[in-house]
Amino acid sequence: MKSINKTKDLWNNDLTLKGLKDNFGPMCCWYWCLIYRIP
Amino acid sequence: MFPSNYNYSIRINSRYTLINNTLTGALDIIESDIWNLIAVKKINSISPNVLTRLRHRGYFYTDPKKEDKVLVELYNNYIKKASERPLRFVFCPSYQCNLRCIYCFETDLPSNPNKYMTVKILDDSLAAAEEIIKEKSGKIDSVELFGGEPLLLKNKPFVEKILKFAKKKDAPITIITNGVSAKEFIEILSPMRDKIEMLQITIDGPREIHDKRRKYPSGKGSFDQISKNIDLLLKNKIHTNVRINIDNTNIEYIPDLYEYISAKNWIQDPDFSIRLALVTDHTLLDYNNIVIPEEKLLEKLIRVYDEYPVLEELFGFYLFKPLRHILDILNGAPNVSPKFFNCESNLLELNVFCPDGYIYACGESIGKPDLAIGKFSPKVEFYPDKKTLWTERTILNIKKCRTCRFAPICGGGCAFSSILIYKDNCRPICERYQEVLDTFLKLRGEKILKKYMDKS
Repeated sequence: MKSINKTKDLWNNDLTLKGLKDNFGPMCCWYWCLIYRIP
Repeated sequence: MFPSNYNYSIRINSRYTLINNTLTGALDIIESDIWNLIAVKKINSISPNVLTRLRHRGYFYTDPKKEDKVLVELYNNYIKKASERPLRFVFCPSYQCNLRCIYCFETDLPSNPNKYMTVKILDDSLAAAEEIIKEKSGKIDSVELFGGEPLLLKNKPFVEKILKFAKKKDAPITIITNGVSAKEFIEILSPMRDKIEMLQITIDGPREIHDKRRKYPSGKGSFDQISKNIDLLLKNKIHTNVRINIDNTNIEYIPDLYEYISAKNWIQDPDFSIRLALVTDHTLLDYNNIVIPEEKLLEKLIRVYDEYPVLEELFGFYLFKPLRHILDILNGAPNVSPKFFNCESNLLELNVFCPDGYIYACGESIGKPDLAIGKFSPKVEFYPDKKTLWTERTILNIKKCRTCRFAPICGGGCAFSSILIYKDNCRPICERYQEVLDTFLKLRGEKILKKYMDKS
């Protein structure tokens, strides 16, 4: 078994999420996707 | 031992299986024989060391109730961190647009009686932004220009004022524009070039393809004008991102557009970037000949990449949401954010100020006052019940999502879709996570294995 990321960095071992990067986004669809309407 | 609710696995070949726990973020390659033993519940046949490792990485629990407690604790800590997040302001100086793109999701906006911000509305929006900043004691993360089309000539004095506000607040600027009138704004954009994080312009393919999709009201195509304007923007060192919106009808023309862009020497320009984006439809759950299931589009894209490997290197697969967590970890991120909700609208991170005087949480909901979270003109007032419409939608509150193995990487799907389709803000909007992951890993899994297993 080979782990690609380290166990210490997993969220069940970092419940406070202190390792979480502050920048969450942009996630929203109108940035990443084009929202379409069938004419 | 009890398996996690959030395990995903795919057999890459007879020897190795890729496993991922979407709650803890664990990503592993395990011998297929071992994973098969787990699948047929022969856990006792597995070595204690491997079982311990799987448990420590969140694939199994000795107490079946523990995982839900982990989920809730992570969620509570996530919300605590989210309350410290910087602010984002989006200004829509008008609901009007000078193009009539065939797939526009804002076709109702030009007929909105509030076509342009007035001077008072603009001043009220800037005052509202100041008030919100003071109240939240926050740093501004970004100032964004959206619409309609923000770079219309009539908007110019307003755009200038908004850019000056952003500069005063030391906020990075993003502009989402069709680019056709960008030339007229060079004189006010150039002095701001260091603050402009991105000016995004869409080009949907080579001229003959783009011009069928993105045209003026007269029917004339916009490709040539946009191309000239990008030349000018780059000459003035304004960071310009080209977005190519792909669907079933234009995906095969990406190599032709790449050829055009290469001949223009844009690719080598340090102020130029380019990415693919998916055309999606949030008003329906069905597909059609344009918006096909995501995994089918992924298959087509991989065929293009197989023929043109330089495009895979340039564009990659990040446009596919179901793949982002795996791609980030494969690219070296120690872990990725768990998603308790779909997007920033659920955190009320965006304050979208519009010509009708309303504040919106989501760029797709603009122009629909019943979805607004507040008003900024004549003064700032927020509507608590409307805010709740966006914030209470989390994977803990959507029943089907709470134990869905993809929920921590999906977030429950689009809030706007749920409200529009079901008239309910807490219905799951399921995207094709299983299918997209399976397709990607079946076609690129061996490449991933080679990278990791050859090293050991």
